[in-house]
Amino acid sequence: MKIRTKLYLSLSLTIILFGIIFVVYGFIQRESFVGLFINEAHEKEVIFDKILILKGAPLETFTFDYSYWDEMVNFIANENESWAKEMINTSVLTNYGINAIWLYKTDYSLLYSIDNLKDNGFKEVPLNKEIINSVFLHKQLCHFFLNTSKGLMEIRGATIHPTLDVERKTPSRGYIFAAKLWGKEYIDELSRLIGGTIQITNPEEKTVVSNQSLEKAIITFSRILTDWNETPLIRLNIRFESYGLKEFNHIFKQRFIIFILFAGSILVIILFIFTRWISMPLRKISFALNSKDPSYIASLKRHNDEFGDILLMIENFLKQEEILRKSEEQFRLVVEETVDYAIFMLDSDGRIVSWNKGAERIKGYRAGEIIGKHFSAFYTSEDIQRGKPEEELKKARVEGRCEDEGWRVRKDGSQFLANAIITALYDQAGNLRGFSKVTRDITKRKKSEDELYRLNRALKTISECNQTLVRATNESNLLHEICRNLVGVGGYRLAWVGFAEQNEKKIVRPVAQAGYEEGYLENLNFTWSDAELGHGPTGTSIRMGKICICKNVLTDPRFAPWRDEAIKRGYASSIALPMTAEGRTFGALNIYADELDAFDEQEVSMLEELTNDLAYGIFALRTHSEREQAQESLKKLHSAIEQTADIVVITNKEGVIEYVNPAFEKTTGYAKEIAIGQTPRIIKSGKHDQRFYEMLWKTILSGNVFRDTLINRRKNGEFYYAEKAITPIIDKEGNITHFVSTDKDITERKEIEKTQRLAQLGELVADMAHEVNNPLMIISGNAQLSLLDGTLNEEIKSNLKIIHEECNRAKDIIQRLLKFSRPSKGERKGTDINQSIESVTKLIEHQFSLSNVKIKKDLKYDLPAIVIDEKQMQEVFMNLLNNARDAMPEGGEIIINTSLDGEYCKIEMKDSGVGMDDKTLARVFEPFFTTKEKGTGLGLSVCFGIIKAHNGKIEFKSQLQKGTTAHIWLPIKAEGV
Amino acid sequence: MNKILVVDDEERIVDITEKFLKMNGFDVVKAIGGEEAIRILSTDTQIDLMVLDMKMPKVNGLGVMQKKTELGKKFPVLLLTGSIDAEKYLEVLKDKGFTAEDILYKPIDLSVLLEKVKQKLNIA
Repeated sequence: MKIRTKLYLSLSLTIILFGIIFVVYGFIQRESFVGLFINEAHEKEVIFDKILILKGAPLETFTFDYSYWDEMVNFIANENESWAKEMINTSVLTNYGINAIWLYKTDYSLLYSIDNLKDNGFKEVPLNKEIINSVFLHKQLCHFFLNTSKGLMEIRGATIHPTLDVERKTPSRGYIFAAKLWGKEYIDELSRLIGGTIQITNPEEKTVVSNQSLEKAIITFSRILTDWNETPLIRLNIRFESYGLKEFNHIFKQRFIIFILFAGSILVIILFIFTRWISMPLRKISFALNSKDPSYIASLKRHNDEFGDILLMIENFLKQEEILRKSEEQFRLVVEETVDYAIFMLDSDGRIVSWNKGAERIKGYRAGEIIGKHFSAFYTSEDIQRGKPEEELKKARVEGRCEDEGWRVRKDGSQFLANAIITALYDQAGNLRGFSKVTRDITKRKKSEDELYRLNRALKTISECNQTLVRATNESNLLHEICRNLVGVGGYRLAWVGFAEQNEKKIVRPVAQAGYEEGYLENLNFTWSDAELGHGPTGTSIRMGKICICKNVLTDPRFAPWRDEAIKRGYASSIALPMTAEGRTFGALNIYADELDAFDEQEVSMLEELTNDLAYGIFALRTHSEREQAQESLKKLHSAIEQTADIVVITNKEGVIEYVNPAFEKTTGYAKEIAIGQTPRIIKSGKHDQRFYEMLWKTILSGNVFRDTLINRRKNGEFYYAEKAITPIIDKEGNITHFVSTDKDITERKEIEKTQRLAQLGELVADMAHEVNNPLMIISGNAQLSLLDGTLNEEIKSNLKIIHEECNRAKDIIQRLLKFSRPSKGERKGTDINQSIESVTKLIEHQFSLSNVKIKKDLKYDLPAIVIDEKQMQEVFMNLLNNARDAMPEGGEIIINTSLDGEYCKIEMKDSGVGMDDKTLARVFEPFFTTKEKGTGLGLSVCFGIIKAHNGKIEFKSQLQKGTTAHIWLPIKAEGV
Repeated sequence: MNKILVVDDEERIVDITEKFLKMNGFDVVKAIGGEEAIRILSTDTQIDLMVLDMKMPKVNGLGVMQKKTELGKKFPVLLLTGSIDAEKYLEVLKDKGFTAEDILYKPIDLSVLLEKVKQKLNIA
């Protein structure tokens, strides 16, 4: 059921509910109204009855009162008319409101009557005598109505009795009747009294209380008036309107209408809401979806409710659907209009169910002709016999797809090469619905593919060969690799490279090959000479430097010498391509194919390019190899020079340094950047005189090698010994362009020599010491023993003492010699060097002052403690100070200075003494070298030994007559101690 | 009276030492060379101190010291040497309780010898 229907249904239900409520309400209202109405009617009836009684009361009273009255009885008895005329006259009629009075005797004869009726009223009661008799037969009083000629008449009658017989037990003395005419005036009066209308009808006519009368609040009821015989005579229909009820009814109706209107408007609003908010959007959505036209819902988009969301979805859906539809449409068009592909559908049994233009074009059938037929119609009879169509369908069913390339038959019986793909189509439930079949005519393509394949193969071969060329590092590998590519990638039967030997025989020597050969190259001697064996493709191409193609080995006369062998090996055609470099053909690339005329124009052009590249590659490799060898040897030379321990310096002819090796930097302390551009003068020590250098230049400028040992100076001022060789470099023209100087730093060797010398000296001294000490001991001992002899005279004693003292001096000398040769390792500990100096100077200051020598100290405080043997160090200081003093016989000043110098503690002792010349300076540390008259020549040797043992350094700087300065460096961080 | 063994390969040095020590009231046993010293050490049990030269042919001072240890002799020793090599011996003898003070360098002052002898023998 649609939402709209449901909405309307629920709306209808609501209306029905409202209707029921109205009906119930109306019913209840009506019921209460009817109740009110009945009450009112009943009330009115009571009132009417009472009015009738009241209005009838004078007639009743008269009849009753005049009928038991003695005078009346008398009258009847006496028949005294005058009494009657006096007592019963017209005024009585008026007083009682009656219209006639009749008096009868017991024999029913009229005695007296009076009336005020017009036009000769009734002399007697309008009843016959029998009726009157029957009326009073059983009762004394009667009341009834009669229709008379004068109109409806109410009549009351009574039997007459004496006054005392109120109960009328005595026999009646006569009868009295009184009548009242119900004329129009009376009826009107009654109507007025009850506020309605009175109608007189036959007793049979009944008044029905109709709805109308109820709605109009008209109350009707009736009263039956009977005659003397109690028979209904007439009916009084009383009708009146109840204004109260009418008003009540009116108000009720108004309220009811308002209620209905209210309910109605609510319903209308609900309806509107339903329509506006639900039904209308739904209808629009429905329209939009049915017509797939989103414009229906465009106006609803801005709704910010569920419909808004739904609309967006619908819009998207419609868009998607539109896209899908278009795509389907396009797809359908594509399929139907495609002419290059036969696209058609098969049912699950393989019968054709659809057909496109392509199918028509390719297969030649029109749709009407083929649809419904089995697709095996396209297969060749052989294929049908083999059951190929069924097999393919089966395969497609099992694997989902079956692709095949093969021959197919057109309507006209012609065949074409087809690529056909059968795809099984399943519905969502997985049931096979049929197959799609796409067939292409690939006859042409196959042909061009074959061509393309060959071209591609050639290109690929070229590409592979080029890569090989790029990577090649070795000629032999390159050639083999190229041949392998030609066979492996190019698909040729054989490829080989032959080099032309440049000798008399002009043999072509195969150097690389790949493919099916089986001794072909070994046994057949190729040459490039102008002879029969040189007229084959290979020889010709080398000799002429041109490409030589043999399209058919069988027929080409040039191939005659090799034909049989070639045919045996399946060579059908061949090509020989000359390899040329720098204008010279040095070989040929030979290719053999197993098909005739295998080398078309394009292929030849590419192979030519390849051969040129190959020739160039070989040429380049050869060049590269030579250059690499040269570079390699250069590199070796460079490494050798760079890494050799010897100093190598290259200068130009003018002696300006152009190159120094790392050994130079290491030995001299001058960095390459500083040295280059300078001359070797930067390392000149000044130890050699001018003549020495003149000799040097003379030697080398004359083109000879100069060799000698030189003393040079490092950047830090140290000297070093260099075993030097300077070689002039002479160019092709015999001009000197450069000088190469190679130095060997032999300082260490010199030092070792010195040390070795000193060690030998030490050994000698040690041996000597022992040998000398024993005799000394004997001399000294005997002298001492003799001194103990108290009998000796003083002179001898004195002599013995001298012997003893001199023995001790000798002992001292020997001790010092020993110390120099093998400085003993005393206790070394962290020492304040200033403190050591102070303690030495304190000891000697006084003594020095006696010789007019002053000691000045400029000690740097906060020097780090250095690890030394303090006793030995003090010995050094003592020696140096003694030397300084000795150098100043006239007195002078010694300045002691301590400082930090890098990682060393530097001590300087400067005197203002006589100084030393260079020769002296060079020998100061030699043992036994002394300038003093009484010197042992061991003092400074010992100092040297001690400082060396401390890994320190000691040297002197001196100028004659100006003074000498001793410099000592001691390492702050003791090493190997 | 304390008995002192004086060992040296130089007979004259032994004689001087003997004469001097005897003059100062010591009983002296002489040994010329290491071999004789070992012989005396093996037989004479009365020795209180040994004045020993280190550098001797055949059996040197160290050999004598070795023997002395083998014989279980506990008396003190003063070493006599003409060479600075004594320091080398000191390295070897250090564990036997020797110090630089126990080494006397030739030529010796006899008064120093006496002092050292007295010191070793605990004589005031």
